[in-house]
Amino acid sequence: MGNKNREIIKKALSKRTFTESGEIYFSSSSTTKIKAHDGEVASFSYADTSGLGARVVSENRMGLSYTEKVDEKSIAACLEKAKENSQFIPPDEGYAIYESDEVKSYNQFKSDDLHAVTVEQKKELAVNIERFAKEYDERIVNVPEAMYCDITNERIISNSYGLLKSEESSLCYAYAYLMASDGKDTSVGMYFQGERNFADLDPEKIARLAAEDALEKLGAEEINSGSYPVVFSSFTASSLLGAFINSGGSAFFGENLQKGRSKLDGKLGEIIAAPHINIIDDPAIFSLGTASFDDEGIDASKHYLVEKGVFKTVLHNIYSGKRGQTESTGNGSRGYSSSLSTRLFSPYLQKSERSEASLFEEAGRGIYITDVEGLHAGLDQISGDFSLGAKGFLIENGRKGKAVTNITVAGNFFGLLKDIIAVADNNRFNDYGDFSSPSIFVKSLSVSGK
Amino acid sequence: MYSREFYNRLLAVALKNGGDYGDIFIEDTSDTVLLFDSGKVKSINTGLIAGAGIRVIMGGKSVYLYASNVDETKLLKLAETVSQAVKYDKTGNMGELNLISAPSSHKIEILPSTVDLKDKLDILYRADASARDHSSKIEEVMIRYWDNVQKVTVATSEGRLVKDTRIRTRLAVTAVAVEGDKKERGFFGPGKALGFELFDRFRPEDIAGEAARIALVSLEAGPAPQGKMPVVMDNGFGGVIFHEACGHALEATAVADNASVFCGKMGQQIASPVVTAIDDGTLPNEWGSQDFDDEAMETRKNVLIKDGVLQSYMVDKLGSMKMDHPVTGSGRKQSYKYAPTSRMTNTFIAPGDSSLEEMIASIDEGIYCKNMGGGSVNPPTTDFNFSVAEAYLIKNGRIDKPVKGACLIGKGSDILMNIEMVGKNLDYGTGMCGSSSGSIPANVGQPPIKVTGLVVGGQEA
Repeated sequence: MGNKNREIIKKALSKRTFTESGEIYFSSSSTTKIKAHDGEVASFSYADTSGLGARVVSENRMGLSYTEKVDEKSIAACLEKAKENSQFIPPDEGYAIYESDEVKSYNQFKSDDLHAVTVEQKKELAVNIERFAKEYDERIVNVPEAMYCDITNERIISNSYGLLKSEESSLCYAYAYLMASDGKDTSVGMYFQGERNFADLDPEKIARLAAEDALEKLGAEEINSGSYPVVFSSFTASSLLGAFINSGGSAFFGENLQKGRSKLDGKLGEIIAAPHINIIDDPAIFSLGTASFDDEGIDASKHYLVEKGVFKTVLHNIYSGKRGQTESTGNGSRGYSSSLSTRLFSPYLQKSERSEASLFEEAGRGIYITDVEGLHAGLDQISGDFSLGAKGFLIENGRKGKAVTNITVAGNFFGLLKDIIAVADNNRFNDYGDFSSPSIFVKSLSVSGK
Repeated sequence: MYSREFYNRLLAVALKNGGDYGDIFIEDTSDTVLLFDSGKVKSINTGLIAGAGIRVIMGGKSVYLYASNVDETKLLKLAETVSQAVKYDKTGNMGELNLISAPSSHKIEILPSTVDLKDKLDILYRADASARDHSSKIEEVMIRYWDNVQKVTVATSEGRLVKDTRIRTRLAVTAVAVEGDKKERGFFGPGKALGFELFDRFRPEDIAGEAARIALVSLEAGPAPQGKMPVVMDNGFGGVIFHEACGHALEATAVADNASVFCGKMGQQIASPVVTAIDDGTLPNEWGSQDFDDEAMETRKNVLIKDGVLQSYMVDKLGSMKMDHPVTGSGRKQSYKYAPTSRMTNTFIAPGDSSLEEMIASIDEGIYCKNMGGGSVNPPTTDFNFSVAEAYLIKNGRIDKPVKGACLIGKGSDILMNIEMVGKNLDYGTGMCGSSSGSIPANVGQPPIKVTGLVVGGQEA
C-alpha cells in the first residue's frame, strides 16, 4: 500500500496548478481496540483511517488545509484551499517547508510480530488481564478496563523540492484500570505497558502491578498540611516533568522562548537544574512518541536539553529555527489536521545507580507521591507553578509507611529542577506518558491536607 | 447522503450473524481553526472530516468498525467485516427505516460557510486590539477562533433514520499580563451552538477584555492558602465542580460496569436537599445542545438529582441494555472515530434561594472562586480535582485580596452532601470534555454555591 500512497501524493504535488512551494503530510492507520469485562470481550473495535494535510508557502505566507477524502480530486482541492488560505496570512520569514530532495523509507519502529498475531490472541490477552487481576486478590472487585490496543501507521511527507520520506511503524499496548475494596474503602489502580512487539506484553505483570497499586491504597488516611520532603514515583515524576518539558507550552521550545513565554529566555548555557541532572531526548529509544523523522521531514536526532544542570539546547521546528536565525533541530510536530508545533521523541531524565528505597532512606521522613491528578489544568507553564491533587504514602523512618489520600502537592517546576536531591534507577520507556523519569527525591514541597 | 434502501441493506448485512441492535453513523464535517498570536494571524486551517462507523451490540457486548474515505462499496465491506465479528443467536427488530425529522430547536442565523474569511479574521484583530488596550501590562494575546459544521446521518436497526446538523462557534482568548518578572495568564472562551451571530451576543472586545481582566488580577494575587475550608464558587464555569465531582459518575459508562459510587442509589438521598441537578441537551443554542444524540435519539432534559434525591443516570444504548434503564438521549461521541457512550450535554445545578452576598457573609475564613480552570475525576471513588483560575480570600464575611495557583480536591459523594447554599443566578460556561468517546463540547453551569470542607491546595508556605 505504501507505494500506491506515495505515488498519489507525488502526482498531486507535480500536478498542482501554482508555482509556489507545497507540502503534503499523509498518514494512514489501522487500529484494533479490545476491552474485556466479566471474562469476555465487552467491546471490539477496528479502524482504517487516513488523512492528508497540505501546506503551501507563497511569499513568506503559509496556508493550511486538510481532508480525510484521499483521492486525486480531493487532494487537488486541498492544495488549492491551502494556497487560498495563505493569502490572508501576514508575511513572516519563519514560514517555510523543508528544502530537501531526499527520498527515503524507514521501518525501524515496525513491530516484528504484530502482523502474525491473530485477533483471537489479542482477545485472549485482554481477557487474561482481567482474569489475572481478579485471581490476584479477592479484594480486586472490578476491572472496568482490561484493554488491548494496537496501531499500524504509515506516515508520508513529500514536498515540491522533491522530498519524499515515509515511515511504517506499529506498536501495541495493554493496561488494567481496576478497583479494590475491603468493604469499607474503595481504591483504584492502574498499570500500562506499551511495546513494539506483541510478545513483550505481559498480561500477568500488568494485572499484578495494577492490583498492587490499588490494594496498597486501601484505608488511606488524611494528613496535616505543611511542607514535606517529597519522593515522586517514577510514574508521577514522568507525568509532572513531561507536562512541563514535552507539551506545547514547554519552556525549552524555541517558539515559546522567542515569544516571551519561557522563563528560560536568555539562560542558554546557564545552570537551571541541580548539577547531577541530565535531560536528554533520544529518538533511537523506543517509546510511544518516537519516530525516525519529524513532522516536517527532518531526521530526528539526539539532544541534551540539560547536561549536568546546564541548559544546553533550545528545540526548534523550521518556523522557530528560521526566526531564531538557526536551524530546525528536527522537532517539528503536527498531524495532518493540525498546525505546526514542537515536540520531543523519547525524552528522559537520566537515571542513577540508586534504588528507589535508598531515596526513602535519605529522606528519612516525608511523602512518597504515587498518583497526581489535574495535570491538564493545575499547572502554569509560563510561571512553572503547579498545584495538583495527589495520593501516596508517608515516608517514616526511611521507609514507605501508611497510605495517604486527599492531599494536594504544590510547587514550581523551575525551583524543583534545582531542588532534586537524588534520582533513582527505575526509568520506564514503555509507559504512556510524554516523558520518562526515574523516581526523584525533592527537598521540600507544600502539601495541603486536612 | 445515501438512500434509505442502502442504509437498510447495510444494517441487514451487519446483523446477518445476529445482534440485538445495530447502527450506522456517517459524518461529513467542515472545520475552521484560526490562530492569532503576537499581534498577527498565525495560522489558517480549514478541513474536511469524513468517514463512517458501523456498530452491532449483542448481549451487552459491542463491535464497532470505522473508516475514513468511504463510499458504497467500502461501506458494504465494512458491514460485512462487522458481521464476521458477531456470532449471536438472536437478531433484534429490523424495522423499516423511517426518517425522523423535526424543525431544529437551534436556529442558526449566519452559517459559517457564508462568512468571508476576512470577516472571521476581523474578529481576531478586534479581540487582540481590545486585550492590549485594556492595559499596557498585557504583553501577549493568543486567540483561537473555531467554527465547526458537523453533518451526521444515523440509521438504527430500530428503524430510526436521523439527519442532524450541529453548528458551533467559539472564540477563546488567552491574555498574558507582565509586571517585573511576573507573568500571569487569563483565559475566557465562550462558545455556543450558533453561527457567526455568536459575536452579536459576545462582542470579541468583551471576550478579550475578560481574559485581560483575569490576567491582571492574577498579577496582584498572592499564594493561595492550604487546608480544608469553606469555598464559594461563582456561577458559570464553576459548574465544572458538578460535572467532575458527580456528573461523570452518573454516566452509564461508569454505572453499567459497577464502577461508580452511585450504583444502586436510585431514589436515595445522595446530595444535600438544596441540590437539584439537570442535564439538558435541548437548551436553545447552548454549547452542549443538539437536536439528536449520536444514536438517533432526541436529546432531552434529564433531571439527575431532585432535592438531593437521585432521579436518573445518563444512559446510552449499550448502557441501557446492560443496566435495564431507558436511554436518555445521552449517546455522544467526538466523531465517527469513536463508538458512542453516555456523555453530558449542558449539565447544571438548578437555581436556589440564596444570594452570593449571603454566602460570603456566612464565612469567617475561606475562599471565593470566581473563575475555574479544568478538572478531572476517578468515577469509582469520585476523587476529583480542579484548578482555580481566579480566586479571592474570604475574611470575616468579606471578599479580601486575590490568590492564585490553587487547586481544589475532594470526593464527589461528600461534596454533594456538603453543598450548603445554592444561589439564584444560573449561568453557563463553555468546556470540552474528554472521555472514552473522545473530546466533545460540554456546557457546565450553576448559580453561585457554597460548599463546606473542601481541601484547597495552595502554595502558601
